[in-house]
Amino acid sequence: MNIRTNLAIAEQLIRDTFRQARASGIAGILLAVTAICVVLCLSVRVSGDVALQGGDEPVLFLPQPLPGTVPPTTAADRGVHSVLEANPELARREGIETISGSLTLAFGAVSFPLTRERADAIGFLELLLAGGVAGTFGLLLALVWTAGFFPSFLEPHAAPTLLAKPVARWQLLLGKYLGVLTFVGFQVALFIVATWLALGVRTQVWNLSYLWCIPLLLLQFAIFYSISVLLAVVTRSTMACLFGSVLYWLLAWGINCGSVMARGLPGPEYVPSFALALADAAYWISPKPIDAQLILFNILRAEHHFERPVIFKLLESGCGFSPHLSILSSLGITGVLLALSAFEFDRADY
Amino acid sequence: MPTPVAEFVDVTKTYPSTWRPGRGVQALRGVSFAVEPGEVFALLGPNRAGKTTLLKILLGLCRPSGGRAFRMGCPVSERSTLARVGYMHENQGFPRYLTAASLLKFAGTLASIQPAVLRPRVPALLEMVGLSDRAREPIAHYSKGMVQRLALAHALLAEPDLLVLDEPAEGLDWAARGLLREIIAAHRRAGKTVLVVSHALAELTPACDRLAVLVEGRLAYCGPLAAILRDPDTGRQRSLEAALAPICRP
Repeated sequence: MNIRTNLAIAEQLIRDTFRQARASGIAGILLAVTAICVVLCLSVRVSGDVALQGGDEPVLFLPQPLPGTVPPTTAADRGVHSVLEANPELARREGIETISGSLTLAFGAVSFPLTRERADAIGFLELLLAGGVAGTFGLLLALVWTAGFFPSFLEPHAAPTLLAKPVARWQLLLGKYLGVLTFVGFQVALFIVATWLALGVRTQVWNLSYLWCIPLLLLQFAIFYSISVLLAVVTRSTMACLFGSVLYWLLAWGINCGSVMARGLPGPEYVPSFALALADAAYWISPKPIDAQLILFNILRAEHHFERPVIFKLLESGCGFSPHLSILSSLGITGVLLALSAFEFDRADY
Repeated sequence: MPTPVAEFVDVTKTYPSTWRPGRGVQALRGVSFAVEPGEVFALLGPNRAGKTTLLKILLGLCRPSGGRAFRMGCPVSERSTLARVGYMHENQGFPRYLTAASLLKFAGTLASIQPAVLRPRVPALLEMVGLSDRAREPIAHYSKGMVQRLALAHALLAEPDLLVLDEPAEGLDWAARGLLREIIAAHRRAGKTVLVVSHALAELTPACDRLAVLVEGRLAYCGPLAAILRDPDTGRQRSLEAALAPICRP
């Protein structure tokens, strides 16, 4: 079989997955979620803001306190602050720049006082869209909904249509996996690019790092979907795939969290060496959703809005966190799971 | 001597039991026979005789536990020869979200048929099985008979040298059964092979050259149809049912 035929087969399997997604309703639901979020982004308006920093300046909302100094929290200071806040004109006359603008959503129906720069406010919205809507709700929805794609592909009555063909079984399996990834990748890309464009057009904030969410979210899905493929090959049951992949997702969070905490604790007096070795092994051989969240946190500069979670601090301080190694090892696990699936699929009777 | 299109040498198959390791269902027990090119060969036997298992082994859908099986002279593990095989089975399940045309295009690509060849063949096959006016409708809307017609078109898609039909008449109306008989006859005329499993003996009898009878996983008879139809005691012609009755008795 030549490359052209192989490409044609892959193309047909991808097309088949898109048709399956359309028929199952997941395509419509994800498109509806994207449409709602795009409309929400198009309804955003920022007014009355000022630029407080240059492009490469670090964000510091308060001057770093000198060692030994007392924070200015006296009643008199608070009084001055409230006077300036209530009278921005007075503040401006005194040479103090204050932000007194507003951010409105739903075409002005909901208004929030703007306490930060425009780019920061939009960054916060992008964080909610990428981390909350796409990264948690969208990813779980896709994982649950596509859990039935492989079992129906391998149904006893349907399988002979595919398997009594000159295509190798592993090729069919990988083709279908690629099909599901292409579908989810398309939906993620559509969501991220459309919301990025909508926010950019409305606010002139073009945060390019937001686009990094596309490969990152797709990577997370690819890792968790590989267990669904293995379960589908072994059990041919949609329920097993559904519960198995969600359980695996939760388990991966638990393992990742436990191993990071064990690795981050100081010195062998707290953790026995064998437990540390176990935590190390568990960290490297399981998917790393916390690592992925940390990468997303850093890319979207979420520390501008939230205190860095303790688990992230432990991860970075523990054993030298490397995003590249983390991603590569997670991809390695995905590869192993897919190889196991292909092996099992090849020797299964239909 | 031409290479057999399908050959089984002492083939056994045991389906392992999920809950009781080491114990399983023995579906085939040392089956040996060959199907020659250009013949219409029937595989008969009562329920649970192992007919479908034998076909699955031939098509690479399951592996034999023992013995050897060959397709077009090559071991059945050699998948490239599947490009020359068409398969239709009872209760064929196609993805319900596909249309007949998209299913045949999808299946044709998997069968390594060139797009230029596939493009005119798909509408021609749908026309032949009487589905051209419903070609753009999802299979979910089809009746069982229509799905079986589509399964027939699917089996003929690669213009196969070996056509494997497992209970092909199931769910077909009289017109489609007539079409099926015509297709089998056309294959024989073209020097191609048909391997058919069916319980519709009356319809099958005139069409086949040789037959094999499986009983409880063992080969009980393999030979020309004419020989089995002759009563050894009286020398008269008898019905296939009458001929099979003593063979199929456990």
